[in-house]
Amino acid sequence: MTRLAFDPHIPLPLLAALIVAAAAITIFGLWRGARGALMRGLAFAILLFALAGPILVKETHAPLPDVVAVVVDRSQSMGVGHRQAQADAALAKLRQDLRREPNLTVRETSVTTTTTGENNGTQAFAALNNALADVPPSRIAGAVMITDGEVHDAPERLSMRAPLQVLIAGERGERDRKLTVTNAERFAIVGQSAQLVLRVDDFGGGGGSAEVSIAVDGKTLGTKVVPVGQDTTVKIPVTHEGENIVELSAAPGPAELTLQNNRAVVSISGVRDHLRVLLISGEPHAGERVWRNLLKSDPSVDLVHFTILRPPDKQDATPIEELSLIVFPTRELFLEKLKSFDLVIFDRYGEAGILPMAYFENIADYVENGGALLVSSGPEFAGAQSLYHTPLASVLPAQPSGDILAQGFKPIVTPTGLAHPVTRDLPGSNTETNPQPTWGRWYRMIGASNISGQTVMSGPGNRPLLVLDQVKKGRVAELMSDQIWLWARGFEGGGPQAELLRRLAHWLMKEPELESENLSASVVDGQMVVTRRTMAPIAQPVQMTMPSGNEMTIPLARIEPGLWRGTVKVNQLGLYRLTDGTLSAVTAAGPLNPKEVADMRATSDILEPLAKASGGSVHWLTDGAVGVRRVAPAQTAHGSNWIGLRRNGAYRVTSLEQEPLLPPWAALLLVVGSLVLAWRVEGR
Amino acid sequence: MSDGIEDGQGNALRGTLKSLGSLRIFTPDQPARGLLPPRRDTTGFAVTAIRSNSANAAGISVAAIGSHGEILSDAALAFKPGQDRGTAHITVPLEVRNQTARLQIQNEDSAGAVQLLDSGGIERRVGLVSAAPTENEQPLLSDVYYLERALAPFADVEKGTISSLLARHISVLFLADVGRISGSDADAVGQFVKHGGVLVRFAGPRMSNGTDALVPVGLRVGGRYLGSAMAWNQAQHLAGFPLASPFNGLAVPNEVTVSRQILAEPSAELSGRTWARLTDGTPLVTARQEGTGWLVLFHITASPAWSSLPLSGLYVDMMKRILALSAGTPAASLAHLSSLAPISMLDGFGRVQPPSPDILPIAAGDFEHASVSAKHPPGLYGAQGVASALNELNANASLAPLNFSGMQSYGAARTLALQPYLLAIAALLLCIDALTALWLRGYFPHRVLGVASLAFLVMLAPMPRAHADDAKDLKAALDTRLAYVITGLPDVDDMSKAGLTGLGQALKARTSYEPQEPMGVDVAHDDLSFYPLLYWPMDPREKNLSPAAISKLNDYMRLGGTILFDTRDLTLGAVRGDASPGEQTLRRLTQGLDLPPLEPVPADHVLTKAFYLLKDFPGRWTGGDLWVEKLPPAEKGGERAPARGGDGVSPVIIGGNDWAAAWAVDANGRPLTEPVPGGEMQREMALRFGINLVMYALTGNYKTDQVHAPALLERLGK
Repeated sequence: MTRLAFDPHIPLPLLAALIVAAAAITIFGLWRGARGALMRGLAFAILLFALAGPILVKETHAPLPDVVAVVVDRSQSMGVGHRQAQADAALAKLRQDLRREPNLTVRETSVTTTTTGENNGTQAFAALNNALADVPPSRIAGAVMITDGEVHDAPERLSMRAPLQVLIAGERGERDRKLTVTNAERFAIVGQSAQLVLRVDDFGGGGGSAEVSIAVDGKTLGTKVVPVGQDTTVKIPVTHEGENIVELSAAPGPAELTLQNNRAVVSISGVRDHLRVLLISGEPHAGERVWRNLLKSDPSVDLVHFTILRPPDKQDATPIEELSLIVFPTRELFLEKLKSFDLVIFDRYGEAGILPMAYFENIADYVENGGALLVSSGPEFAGAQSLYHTPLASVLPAQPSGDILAQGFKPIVTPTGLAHPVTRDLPGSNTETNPQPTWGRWYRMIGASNISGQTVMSGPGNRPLLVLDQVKKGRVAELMSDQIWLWARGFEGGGPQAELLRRLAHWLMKEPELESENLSASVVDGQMVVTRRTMAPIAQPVQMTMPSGNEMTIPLARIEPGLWRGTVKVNQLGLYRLTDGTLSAVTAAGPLNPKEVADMRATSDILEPLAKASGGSVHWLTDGAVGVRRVAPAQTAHGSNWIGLRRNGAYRVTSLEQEPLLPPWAALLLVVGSLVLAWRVEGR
Repeated sequence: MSDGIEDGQGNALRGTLKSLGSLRIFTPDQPARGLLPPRRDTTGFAVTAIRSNSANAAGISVAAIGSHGEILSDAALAFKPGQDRGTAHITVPLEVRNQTARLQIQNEDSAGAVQLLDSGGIERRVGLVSAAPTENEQPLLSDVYYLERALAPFADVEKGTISSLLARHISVLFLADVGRISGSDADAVGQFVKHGGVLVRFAGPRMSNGTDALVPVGLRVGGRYLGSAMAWNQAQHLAGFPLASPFNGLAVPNEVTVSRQILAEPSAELSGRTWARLTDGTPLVTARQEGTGWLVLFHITASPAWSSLPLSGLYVDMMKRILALSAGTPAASLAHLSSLAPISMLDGFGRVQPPSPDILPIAAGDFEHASVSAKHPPGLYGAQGVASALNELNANASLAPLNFSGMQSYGAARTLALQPYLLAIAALLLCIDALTALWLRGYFPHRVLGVASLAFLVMLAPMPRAHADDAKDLKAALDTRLAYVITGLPDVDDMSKAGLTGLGQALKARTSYEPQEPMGVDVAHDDLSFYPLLYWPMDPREKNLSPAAISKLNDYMRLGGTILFDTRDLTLGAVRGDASPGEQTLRRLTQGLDLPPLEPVPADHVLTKAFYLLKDFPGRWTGGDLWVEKLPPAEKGGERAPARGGDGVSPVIIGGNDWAAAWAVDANGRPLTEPVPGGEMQREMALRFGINLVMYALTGNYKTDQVHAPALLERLGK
């Protein structure tokens, strides 16, 4: 293509002024009939033309293809009903139609749901902008979205200046029930209850009430009938430290698209700000200070220490005002306030008629109702004053056999103990490969028989040394020796006394991380990590039910004794249920109340205003297939059964040549020539 | 046509252009000069300028410029010949320092010659109040120190009492560990907040004992310890900020941990009032709107005592957002600061321009590492009042000159032979490189020191323990026995044994502790870990301790043992005090021992009430002081805490009343000596002291606890 262009040698205003002046003089001359005016006018014209710098420009053009973006929604909500199939059929037809169009490039992209990242829902416009990011606005022919209409990043105004055509998959007038947790406490004090505010909505009509069942850590807590469309508060008891997994599920409503949004999982951290410990010591001995040192060194432990320094059968003649006497509120302690304690420890306590039997009954009762009891026994346990002769015997896992072994020995972690979280990996412990522990020796242990529960440590001749047991709702640990203080005092290098007691205490208080039989699951970076702790030699594979209802089996691999793990990639938002036949676990992928499953009804309400504003349209795929037409920029871009894409006609300049049209010397000759002519005419 | 600066691509461009035809390169007459990020100090700004040509001496002027373009202050900066950077200090009066919007090299029209400063928007005056009295003695432990450091760049910081600060029209009031705001102050602070003030409180030991109504959420008394000896939870990290929090968008550093906090009482409205929380869901910062102002509570201390947050950059960013809140930026718009939108930009000539629409916001978490590009030109990003500056030159920037032969200046076609100078720079760089390489490989003194200390540590590896007689160990382990140190002097050892036998009989008769025969312990050879208490009489004839014995005794005391040193003053000589042979022996023997600071037994010490109530501690003699480990001073109105971790039993007790002699009995139970001057009554008191001592060693501070037990039980019910 060749065209004329001007590149003035002098500033444009000056040129304009010259043109005006020349025109005025010439017209004046012609009007007055002056001779040679025409010739002078010609000279003016040539000179001014030369000053304007005429250039001949030769351009070579190449037409540019228009670009259309096709965004296909493959998010989780598209899995409802036949939406995916509808979308695939529409996409296939669209591809065919677009392939026929000359000079059109198709950028196809899809939106998927990920379990990582923020609670974004379907990011269709982000995908659209990405697809067209490097395309100049003048080349965009339009955009086609195939979606159910649940798009969560719709802008107020489109930046693209081309029609947005939306094809909606799904049915009109769908109905669904949804459960939302509107407010949840993130943590609660152990022993108290946490409040959850939840709400059940029936989209597309409905009402009345809905039944919501509640389970904590896989154990059903009951059901609650809640009014539809209103916030309801429920209380969840928090029984242990760490994560308490609360699962809520609403019964199916009158009409359901999916049950995925009828469920929610909330994790509430159990927090203990203070550990309340009741330490009951018998005869003063070197180990007592060790107990006190451990418990008093932690400012978060509230220690109530009970011991008898002056037995009632021993009297001296000291006047009462010279004795340091402080009345101990035993009744309050052992009857009224006992349930407030997190842990009760008996340290070499022999019952010599000081505490009434009713107190021991109460302690046994406390254990059966979920309490934690640790007994460290000395020689008194084998004798007449044994705790085993009190009502506490009903909860003790080991019965004294009467013999006392007094010799140096190294405590050994039993094969059971090597797999048990309480004694696994204790510093200095024997291991599977090395049978000899490196910690110091103890000098006494009490013989025991009639063991219930698990023996995790043993003494010489495989005698049980540390026995753990579950008694109804509570837990008991019994240490058949009073010598653990030798570890604390560094005898022969000492041993992990503080660590063992810390683990024991928290196992007794049901810390989930110390459960010997435990199934837990969590979603980290899009990976479902299943952790199984078991004392069994083989861990069964775990069956996982996905939010969509599909099932899959996850095999577990042994990581270390007692610990098994399996990992699998997941990409659905919502609640995953896992079970290995005996234990079960639930976990949720993605945020609480994910936008993606908040409302799963197909809708045109979100995208219609945008499509209309851009000159595009919204079509429901249920109304039949649509064709594609190319339209000029000003034309209407939609019809009842077709969608329009703009034909922009953009081109690219591939080369450009400039050539001065009037070289200065030629201009000079012409001007001089015309002036000579003018003079000649005038001179006649 | 070039700006004369080599950006690493110069040669490639030159090659490309050369292949097209003949090439002439034009560069500016003047070398390019740039300004590096300034450092704030107490009197102004320390600035560093760099230049691309280091040949000649040159002088420039750097100015501090206010937000309306007014020059607040300036300073001359001279480049020395051969150096490509120069430094200067701009002194800016305190009053206008916060109004400084940018620093600029004057007459240098380039974005690289400008350093924009993070803007705190409108200047604000904030007040700091701390309840702790000793602010100036240990600045690194003080709450106010950290607050002041974080706030000073963005606000006028004033310190004083609550009433004096409120009178000075501050807009934010920071209270560090003020447990309860007292009467009239509380009303004044309440009014201050209602009328738009922001009250920021920090927790601390005082607040953990209860607080007043001017907190955003209900608090639990006592505080929570994370990662303590018996706790299961380790120190917690910060969780991501809630979406509605004004801190939303700030990057959470992984290294920040919290080891202690004040716990909020769980409630339904708590999550709405939480601005920051820990990974276990417990709140770290809570806030509540009150009137038009805000109550903000950090559940940790303002100093690093409870968490490492005050040591991180996040702390400063949080303070900045709180200041913006006080300037009227709504909390909701701060919460949207997860991406920082452009506010004003610098063009290539260093002039401020409004941002063009194609400039993209920067994610707040990435801002720290953002670099200038076409998408992100230098300028201010964020929101009014919390703008962060993105500058052309960062601290590591340097300007390398373009160096090709045949370059021409724009003005005159002059050529300047850069070759010699560049060679000189190359030589200098080579030197620096050589030194750096040496330093990195550790050839410098302080590294040498490190190696030496490592070697030292290796030498400190544990020494094999001498194995003692197993039968004796067994005997000692099975029963808790009274024990004395064998001095090797038969008369002294016999008396010790007789004394402990007598004390043992008294214990058996009166208390629940029934000791077996006392044992003599050879400090050098026996294992000491079995004995809660060692009785050690002093005698001038005793031999010095071997180093092994000293380290053994140190271990014994560290792991919870107690030694009673008896200097037996009047038994050995006529005098008490420094000159007495017992005390001299004590000083000689304990030379290598790791003794804590001592004090005479105070009247409220548990030794005076472990079993009997005692006022003095007589033995065979009476009078003289009994020394124990010094307890920390009592908190105001409160109990004294035990001296150390654990149960706080004193590892040494020192006195001189020859107690063994007073307790001593023969095989038939008859006393061996006559106490002077009190006779049998004094012997009784000596025995009472012995019983208290043994009970103290066995049960620690049990009696002190017992005093608190009713209060503790009271609390349990709640």
